[in-house]
Amino acid sequence: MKSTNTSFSLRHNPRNQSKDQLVKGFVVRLSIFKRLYREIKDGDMKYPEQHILIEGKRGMGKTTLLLRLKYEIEQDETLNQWMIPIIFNDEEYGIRTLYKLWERLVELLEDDSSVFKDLSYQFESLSMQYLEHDEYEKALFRLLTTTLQAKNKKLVLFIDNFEYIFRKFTQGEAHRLRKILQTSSDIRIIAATNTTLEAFYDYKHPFYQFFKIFYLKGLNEVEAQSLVLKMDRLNDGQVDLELDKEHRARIETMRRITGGVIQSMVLMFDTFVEDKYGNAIRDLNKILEGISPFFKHRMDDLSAQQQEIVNTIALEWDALSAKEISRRTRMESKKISAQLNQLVKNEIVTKIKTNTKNHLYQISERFFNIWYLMKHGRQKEKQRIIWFLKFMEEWCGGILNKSSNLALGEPQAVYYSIGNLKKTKFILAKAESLVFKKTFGQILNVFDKNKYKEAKNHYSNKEYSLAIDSLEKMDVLDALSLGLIYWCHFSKDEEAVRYLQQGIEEQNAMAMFCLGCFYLEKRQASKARNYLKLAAEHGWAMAYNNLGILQLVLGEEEEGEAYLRQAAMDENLGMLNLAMFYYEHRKYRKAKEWYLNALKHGVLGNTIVIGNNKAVQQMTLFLLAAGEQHSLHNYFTNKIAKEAQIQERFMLLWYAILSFLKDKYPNEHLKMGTEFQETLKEILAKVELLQERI
Amino acid sequence: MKNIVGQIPRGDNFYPREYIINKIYRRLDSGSHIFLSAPRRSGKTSIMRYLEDNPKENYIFLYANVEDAEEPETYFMMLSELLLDSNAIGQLHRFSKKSRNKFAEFVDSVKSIKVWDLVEVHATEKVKPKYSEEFEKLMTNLDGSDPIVVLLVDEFPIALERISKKYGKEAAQKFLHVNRRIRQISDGGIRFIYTGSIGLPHITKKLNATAAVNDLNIVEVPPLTYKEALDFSAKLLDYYQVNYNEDIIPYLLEKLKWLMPFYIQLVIQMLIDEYDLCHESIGQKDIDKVFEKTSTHRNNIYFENYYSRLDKSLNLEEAKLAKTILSTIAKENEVSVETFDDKTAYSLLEMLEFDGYINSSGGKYRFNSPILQLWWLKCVR
Repeated sequence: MKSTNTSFSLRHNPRNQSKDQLVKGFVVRLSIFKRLYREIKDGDMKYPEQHILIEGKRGMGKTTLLLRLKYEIEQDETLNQWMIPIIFNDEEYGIRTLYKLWERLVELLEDDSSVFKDLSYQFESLSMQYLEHDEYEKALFRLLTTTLQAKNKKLVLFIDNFEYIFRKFTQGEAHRLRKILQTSSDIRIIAATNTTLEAFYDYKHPFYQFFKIFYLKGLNEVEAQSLVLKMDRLNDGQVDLELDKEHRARIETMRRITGGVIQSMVLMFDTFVEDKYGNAIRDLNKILEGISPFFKHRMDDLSAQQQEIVNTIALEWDALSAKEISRRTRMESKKISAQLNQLVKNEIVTKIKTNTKNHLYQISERFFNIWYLMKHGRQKEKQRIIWFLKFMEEWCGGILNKSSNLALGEPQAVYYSIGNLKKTKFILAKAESLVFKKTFGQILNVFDKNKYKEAKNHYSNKEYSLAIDSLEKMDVLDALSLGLIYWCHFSKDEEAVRYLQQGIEEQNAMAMFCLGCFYLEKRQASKARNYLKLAAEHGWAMAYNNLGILQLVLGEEEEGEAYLRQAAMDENLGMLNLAMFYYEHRKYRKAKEWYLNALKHGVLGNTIVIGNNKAVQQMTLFLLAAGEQHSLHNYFTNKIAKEAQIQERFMLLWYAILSFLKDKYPNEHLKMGTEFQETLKEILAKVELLQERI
Repeated sequence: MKNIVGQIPRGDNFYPREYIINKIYRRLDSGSHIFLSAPRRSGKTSIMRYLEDNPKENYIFLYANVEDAEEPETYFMMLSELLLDSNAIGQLHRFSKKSRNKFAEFVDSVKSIKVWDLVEVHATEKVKPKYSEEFEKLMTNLDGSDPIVVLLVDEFPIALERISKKYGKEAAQKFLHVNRRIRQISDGGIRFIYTGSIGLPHITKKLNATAAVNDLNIVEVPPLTYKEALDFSAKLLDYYQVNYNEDIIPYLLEKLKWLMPFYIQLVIQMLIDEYDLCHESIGQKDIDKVFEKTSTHRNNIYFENYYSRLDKSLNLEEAKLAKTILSTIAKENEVSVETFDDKTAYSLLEMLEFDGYINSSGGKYRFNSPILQLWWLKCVR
């Protein structure tokens, strides 16, 4: 892992890239680059120029931008005659006073330009001459400016991590620097900071609103996609990315989760190189691996008490009150307040004001929080991220695909997308061909685990024939199970049909249902219908549900509805499908009635349903549009929902519900992290659209 | 015209504000010394620099920023050096013989002070000459018929505050009185225009020395007039080649209400950013969007400071009352002057008005900036 990190930092640290590499690889931030360059080029520095501050979080491309500007000045023949761009190092630990800034500037100037060769000798003699720091600083600056004027040169100083230097200056030095910057036309500062410096907004501070600030925001959707594509081109099409829907959804999911940080997007590209057909969870793990040293360092820098507080807030993910933090850490509230203030000041934690005295606190950098949960969280905390990722991946994919789904009942789970039958508008909206697959492990779990140890071992050693042999030799494994194993796991259709029919001969209604589903998958409608009917006649209620959907697919809407209604008598999944049917047919009153029925009958405890993000999404959005936020709130907080962890599984939907209940719960929605905001906004916009429709 | 924020716009980038410039000249013509008063980011310094760069006939303006002076002698050294290095010395032929002699004496004396520490003259001279004294000497008997030299002293209240901090209240009072004496004896030869990012009346009140500045003629820098603001906004947008519908500037100004250049620039900057992002003609919707943005998230720290400085500069009770007053005005949009009639409230309202939160006209208090008002409504609980 370490080597990956090292290679990441070496490859992606802009200072380690050659001028040519950096210029070639500069494919995003073009607009802000052009604007800043125009600012620089248009300023003849006759009068003191506008000083600029670029503000952006870690990894947003500040250093690259500063270097790119420097290189552009160097190659601009109208500018390079008189303007000298100087770039300071990332960390300038030695600059703790104003005179040190000038001393360091002269060192860099000498390194960069032979015209100023003897300046540091003259500086040294001034150091002997002026013992008072103030006087020495003034003398240094005088010498610097007279030398610049004598040589007809002007300086543009690119200072990265400006906050580290600036914070060390005394108030007196700040006044002096402001005066210099306001009155000297010989130097211009283009600085960059990770954090928002309070001084620049403090009415009483000399630097109050002094800089023209440019913000480097996270990449938007188009920029992120274009960055990954361009990186691929620069890498001679190593990945040969076409940016199909699936890839776009992967990129979009990561962009939203990482806040559009360029550094993470670059890591994302690395995951494409290694794993073109991966998924959001693998992408996230890869990015976290690359980013880990930066975040670990951040945690290590905190005191023990602060670490404990950050740990508590991070593991909660949502914002917490000081009171709650105090309870969980068992630290005195006074201590908590003091430490929280410090953490807020250092921008590790953000304070969210509520309408009570108990304000909320959350981790400022949201991706740091996600890293922390994945790195230090227990399984249930990691699971929340996985659910979130899955939701996001589907949401982003959904936005791109504009598809919707009907849920089909299958033995013990999963839904089925009817795909390319193209008979109804539901079907036409579906693109992907999802096939119901049960895992080998799930089948085995039906039975006694110990007895199947041998089969399992074969299975885990990928000795599939041996596994099947072992299973067939065991009396307890019935025909139905063998049929399912052959169908779902080994794709041996003939054997599957043989065993399922054997099960039917034994009057097993589930086998009838399964064979019906088998033929559904094979798109053999009449056989599917026959076996599903048979299953229904033998009391397998879920068969009505699938029969209903089959008929809908075949365009037999009346019959389809009738079957769904029959399914709805016994099954909450049937109720949900009936609601969806009415919803799709714009019979909104009935849709609302059946959605509420499904909820009342515990549809949120149905594993098929909660595995289907889109169905829950559609239901929630519709009911919100129908003004049923209170009912939704009740159903998301009842016992069934708690057991099924509905709030955790569908955090974005939960926040959407809370957004509609701000009057009743004014502080609950405030707990949400910014990584949810963009998607929540889209959800609320969809609800608004729905409201107009219904 | 570039959209310059924080830095002083000079040359073509300064938006000439005729009304205020003419007002200043009228006061100078009548022999007054001036204190330019306005909240920060109102364009006080750029007005000074405009005067310096474009003097009317018979005027020589010299600009000094004194914010890094923390002792009286340094302050006078700065003013002396300013005179010494300035083109006033180069234009001595325009002065009367008497004044020329005075300047010549002054130049010699200042030079002698400059070399005092470097050359060992202590044996022959008993007491080190002082910049303040030499400066004062120059002030006396300058001929009133000479060209008028106006010293533009920027950040004077900061220098005063620093002197007070370092040497105490008495030293600061003394410094104020020396300055007053100098003004009184200048007899029209040299005039002063002071300004600063913190209020001089506020500091002199704290120093119990309001009498030492009551000779200053206070000139308020008002917001732009509607006509000026229209022109100013168009010039900024045109410089950045932003396409926009004709009706957006009046719409923007209507929303802004308080037409201080900084607030106009802040919104225009965001419109430029918006245009840069989508390259579509800017319309009223974009203005609404930008206003929404200004009062949220990123600008929080900016507005947060308006909130938190109440806690810093007032005691607990006063801060609470000030917040209530502001919340009431924010909610009601405008509140009658009589609404808050107790003594504490009155002095708080005065402070809030001076610090740029609110204004009072027509017997009503209003927020200066609707952006701040919106933020206050949304975020202050």
